[in-house]
Amino acid sequence: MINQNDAALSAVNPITVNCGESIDISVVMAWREKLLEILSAKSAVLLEANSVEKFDTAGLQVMVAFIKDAKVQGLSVQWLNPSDVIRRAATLTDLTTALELPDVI
Amino acid sequence: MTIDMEQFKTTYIEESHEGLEVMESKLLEMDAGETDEDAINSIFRAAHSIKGGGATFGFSDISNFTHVVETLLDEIRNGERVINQEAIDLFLTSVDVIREMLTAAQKGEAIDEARASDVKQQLEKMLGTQADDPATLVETQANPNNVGWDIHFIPFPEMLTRGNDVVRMFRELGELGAFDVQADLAKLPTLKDLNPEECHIGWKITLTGSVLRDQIDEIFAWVEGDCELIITPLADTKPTKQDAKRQSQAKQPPVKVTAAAERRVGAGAESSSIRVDIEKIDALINMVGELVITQSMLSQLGEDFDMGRCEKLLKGLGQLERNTRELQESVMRIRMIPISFAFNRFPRMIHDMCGKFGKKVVLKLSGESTELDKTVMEKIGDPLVHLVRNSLDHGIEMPEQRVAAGKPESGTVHLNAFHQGGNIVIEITDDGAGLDKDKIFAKAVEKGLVEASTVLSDDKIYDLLFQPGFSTAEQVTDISGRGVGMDVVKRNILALGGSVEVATELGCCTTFTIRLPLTLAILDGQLICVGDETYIIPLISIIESLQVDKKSVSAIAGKAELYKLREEYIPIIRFHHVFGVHTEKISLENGLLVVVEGNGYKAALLVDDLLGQQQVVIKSLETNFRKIDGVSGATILGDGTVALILDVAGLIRVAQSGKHQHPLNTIENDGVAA
Repeated sequence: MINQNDAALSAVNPITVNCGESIDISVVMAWREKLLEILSAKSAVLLEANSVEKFDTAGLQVMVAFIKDAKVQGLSVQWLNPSDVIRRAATLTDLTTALELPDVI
Repeated sequence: MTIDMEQFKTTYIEESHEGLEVMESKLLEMDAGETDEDAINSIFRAAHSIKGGGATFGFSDISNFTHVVETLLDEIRNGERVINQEAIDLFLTSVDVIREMLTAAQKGEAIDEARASDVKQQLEKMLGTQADDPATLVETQANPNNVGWDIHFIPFPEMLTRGNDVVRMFRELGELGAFDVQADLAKLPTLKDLNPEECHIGWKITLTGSVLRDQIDEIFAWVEGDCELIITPLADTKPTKQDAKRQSQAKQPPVKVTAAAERRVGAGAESSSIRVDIEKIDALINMVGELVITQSMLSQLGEDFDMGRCEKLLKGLGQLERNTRELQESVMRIRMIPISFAFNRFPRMIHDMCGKFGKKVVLKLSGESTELDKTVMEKIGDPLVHLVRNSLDHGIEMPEQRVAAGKPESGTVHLNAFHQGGNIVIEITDDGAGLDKDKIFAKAVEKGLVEASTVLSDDKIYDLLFQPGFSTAEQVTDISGRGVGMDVVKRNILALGGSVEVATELGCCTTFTIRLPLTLAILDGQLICVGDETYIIPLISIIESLQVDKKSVSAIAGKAELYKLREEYIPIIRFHHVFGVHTEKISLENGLLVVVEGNGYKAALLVDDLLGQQQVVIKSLETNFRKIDGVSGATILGDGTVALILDVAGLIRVAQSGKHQHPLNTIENDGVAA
């Protein structure tokens, strides 16, 4: 059960994650550890993903699992300017909704 | 992260060689005019992988060449072309060219561009002309399902770790037609339980448009066996037979464990790497685990030792000995590979030779899974080739001759391998004309190898085949018949510590039997002592040991000493004399004789004492010191001393050569009756 106060607090002070250039199989183990740590902080998350150039199936999957878990815990995850690479990969694999990617404005 | 591409290049080259083996064997199984769908798909996949890898690793020559092969194969696969004998032969030549290119890439050498370009032109010519040739053009199968396809795609967990990426594949699919996809996340675990390198998402895809099934297959070719894949035409949602087959194939355990190693054996084709069945590695790890446990038990015992625990110590040491032996056996097993790697070259060789000589031959292989040491395998390749060539060239008759002799038109060459004792036995049998002993003897007399008056047993006559310069072939061919080869065959086999025998029946059959040790690294030896020295006689060379019975010793012309063993007279070799070792035991009286056999000759070695028997690890004397006649190597004993390993055949040769004087201590001096 999520404590409403915690949720409110985390929303005020989100953790910003700079996604760097790669979320792919070569670094996906490290990403999992990083995302588990973020989940344990029970804070809202901002994924800064405008520079991501490598985003493959393994990357997609780890992010989907993270967002699913965050949702179950009531944590908010938002993307900040996801790169075209992310959007294309998500569209091709029907994972745009699961990744909760924002609509293109 | 920096990736060392060199290691992948090596793997690519090894896997491509295996792919070529598949292509070759499937092509040889094919009949002109009949398209075996499974076979052609296997050939296509192998070519596709070679082409793809070639492009990835910068071997553009290989990639470009294989592309043409692949295109031609694709037309056959699509039913746009029937495969005729000319195409089969051209594909086989292409396999040779790709193999040469791979070998050149491996060695960093330049390829034979003229040959590659010539074969490529022939392929292009076939591509350009024959497809339009009404004689060979078959009606292109209409695609009744040009509305599109349903694709059910569930990757196996490890698919991603093999360099596959669904995003890339879907991008390529999207380029073929209108693409609609639905992800299935039902099996995706929580982040905590997720191994992120594994894939747990499935997809259902609907691809609409005029898309050929082969175009889809090509995209999924890299993941075949790594996923569950069902492709059904949109018009017909029932899976085709081929789909069902693919699915069942895909459901097989995805981890492929292969013991396959270097395929081509023989000179110039020796590989420095070996692929090992994972079960062998697991056995090795288990052994090491046992050893660690024993070592820890012993070191605990050592920390708090008193004489009361002596029995426990002995038990522990016994355990250590067992562990060491098992570990040694496990390690040796790693080097063991099936003889099929040597046999695999023969279907092609026989195919080519039959084409050349107009003979009809069926090759029968059995015992292909019999294992032997990789080094032995690599060295036996060429002698085997020579013997098989001989069987084809001299043994099997022309079809009309066979029919006239009441035999089937097609001859049979049978290669058989099996283990017997500590050896591997390889038999090469043909149902050809057999060996004519009178002809062999006459030829040997003509060549001056024997006197016309000499009386030889059948075996000795057949043995003349292995004499240098001997050949009975009436016409010298480029295959065999130059009289060089059979002597080399025998020499090579002897050098491996093996033997070769021939058995034949005129007009019926000939069998060459090769016996080889399973490994060259270890042998079972009998330790003997002469003076202060310890020597090792390979157990395989020992017939028996006995104490001298003075009544059985005799001398011939006061020179050689013979020992009568049952009905046979065997020359006595005074070991200390041959090796110049000082010993007190120079008398034959009550001496110990070890009866040995090497290269068909027997001898009785006079030794001081017999010590134990043990397995010894052979160290090359030639590499570490120099070659010595009568000695095949050396080993280090448990007490750290070096013991020489005897080459029994060599020792008998040395003793017979008379390089060593007859011992001063003669039979008379021994007090043994002459």
